[in-house]
Amino acid sequence: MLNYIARRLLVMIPTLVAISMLVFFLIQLPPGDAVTSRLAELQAEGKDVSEAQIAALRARFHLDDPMPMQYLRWVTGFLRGDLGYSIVNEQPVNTLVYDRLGYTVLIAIACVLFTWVIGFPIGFYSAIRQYSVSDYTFTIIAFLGMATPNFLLALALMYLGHRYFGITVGGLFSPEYMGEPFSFGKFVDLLKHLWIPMVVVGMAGTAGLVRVMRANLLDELQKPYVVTARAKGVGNLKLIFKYPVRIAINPFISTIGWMLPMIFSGDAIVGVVLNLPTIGPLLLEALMTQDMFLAGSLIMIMSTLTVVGTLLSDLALAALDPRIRYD
Amino acid sequence: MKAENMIEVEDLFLRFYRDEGVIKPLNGVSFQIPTGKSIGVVGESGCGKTMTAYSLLRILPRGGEIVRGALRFRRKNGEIVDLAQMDPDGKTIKQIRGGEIAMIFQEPMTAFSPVHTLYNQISEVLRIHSDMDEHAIRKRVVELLGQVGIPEPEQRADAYPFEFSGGMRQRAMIAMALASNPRLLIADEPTTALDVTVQAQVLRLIKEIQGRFNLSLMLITHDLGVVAHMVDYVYVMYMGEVVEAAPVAELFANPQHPYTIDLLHSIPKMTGPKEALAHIKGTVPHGAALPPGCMFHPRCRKRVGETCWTREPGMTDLGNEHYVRCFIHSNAVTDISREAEEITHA
Repeated sequence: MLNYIARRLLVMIPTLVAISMLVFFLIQLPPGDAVTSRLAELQAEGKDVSEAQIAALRARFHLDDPMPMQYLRWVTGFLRGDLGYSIVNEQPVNTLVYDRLGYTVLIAIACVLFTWVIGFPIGFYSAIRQYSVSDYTFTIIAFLGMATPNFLLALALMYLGHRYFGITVGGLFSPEYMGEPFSFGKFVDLLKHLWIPMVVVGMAGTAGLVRVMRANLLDELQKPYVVTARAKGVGNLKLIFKYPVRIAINPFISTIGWMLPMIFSGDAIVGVVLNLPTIGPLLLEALMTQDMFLAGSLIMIMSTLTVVGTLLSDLALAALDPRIRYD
Repeated sequence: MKAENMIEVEDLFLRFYRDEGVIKPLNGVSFQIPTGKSIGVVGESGCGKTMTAYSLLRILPRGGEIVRGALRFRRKNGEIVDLAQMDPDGKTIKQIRGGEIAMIFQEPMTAFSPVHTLYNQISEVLRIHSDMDEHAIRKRVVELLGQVGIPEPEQRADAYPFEFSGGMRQRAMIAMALASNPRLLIADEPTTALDVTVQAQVLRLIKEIQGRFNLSLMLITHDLGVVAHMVDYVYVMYMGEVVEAAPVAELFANPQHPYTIDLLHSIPKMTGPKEALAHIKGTVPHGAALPPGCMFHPRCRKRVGETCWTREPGMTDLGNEHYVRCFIHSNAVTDISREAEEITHA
């Protein structure tokens, strides 16, 4: 197995190199660059920028060097743990990411837990009570949840939260706690705000999970091994958990690693609508302003997490399903 | 209940209430299995063989209800219970399932969970039905695997089903069925999914084990050839009814029901001139719409007339423990023709 992991890690290197080239190339494709958009921004604020300043900026970020040189500079920085400098934000990318990583991961994990805690039991219940009134009810709710756009739900919940619960619109904290050191009051305030993104982002995921869990379990419940187990005298609930559920959750475990990039970035659109201090909106903004180092580095991190996540998924599935072998 | 019987099934009616209507898989099945004896249940697919077995264990699919009839079973402690009256989720039936009545299934690949070891699945029977400790369970499982002819049982016990060949898997299935010393073994098409060469080995094993442990055996098959070597007595089923019942030699020598005769004719012959394989015309009708009168009449080649679709034939005793459900042998036909005569004379 160690052999297998080593082999997979080795294959990752060329994969990531290829991705990094592609990312760098794609970001450079549209006309203009970060300096031109920074310039436009400054001019919009009514500030005058001299030719000399522009030239200084371009020289500082080596924007006039040949592309391969720029690429090498960026990539080697990566190896030293330096993600580059955000021209538009005028801050190192490391700082920008570091500031937001905590909340991004917090919100993403809250969403995943919400999805699982709600989704698995409902999917399970729907399957073992197929075609009952409750199954139909959950099915209708699940389809509504899947069909409702996230941002719309975000707007609706913000309105309701503000109108009926007096929660400030957007963000993770009320104004009085912003910039304050962490205290119990601030924690409670965080919980008050956290449920909105949790429900919004979790909703579609939950609905999808309910459907998939129900379908998987229904498939498994009809398998002959279930009849065999019943014929042995195994009790109903114990039987369902030991056999069909065990196999029905395989697809979920096998995609667990794919959540890594999602946990890192968070949902961009919802992040923008709810004004969340997460990485998703940062990436969106970086792409719009062609902030190449910021965008490139964020995409590289997500790509790396995707590749690592896939390996983790494969290992998890192999651990769970004895039919999968490492050679 | 007769003293020599392990189980008596009497007039069993099974119904499935579905959206598309009521399906009628069993329509008055009756049979007995004497202790230590083996019976065969034969018939085409869809004639209710498997549903009869599932009824005995009360593991019917959702919507299945026993609406009439009795399933009298003699338990290990001598008590006689009616399985048909039991709560299918109750404690008693769970003790009987796997503990006193065990079942072997058709497809040994899918009948085992693919992600649990054979040891895990076989030991489960002992965990449920015995109070052995872990050490004793291990010993017993290895002993069982050895008894069914699995080489190196100590190592092979921890294998997964996919690591076994079809024949070995079926042997493991038999070991699992034997785990808690059942009194009745139901084998539902145990060799249908196996290679022909392996079929004979597995059948021999079942027969040997039946003899060694004095089990009652209910062998379900569509293959009359299998029945010939394996059982003492045969029940031929059609559309949820027993249409003919006889000791095995008697049935082959002297089949009486047109359905049995057709079934026997559709066994391929290894000798003699090549000819097209005989088959029974038509298929088993859907269980939602039972034909009136004798249920076999739409496919029967020996219909005697209107009686066949206006009246339901009863079982006629032909002597020598041979019974048949057909007007050819019942007095009903003569009764009716006599009536007809009287009418014309009048």
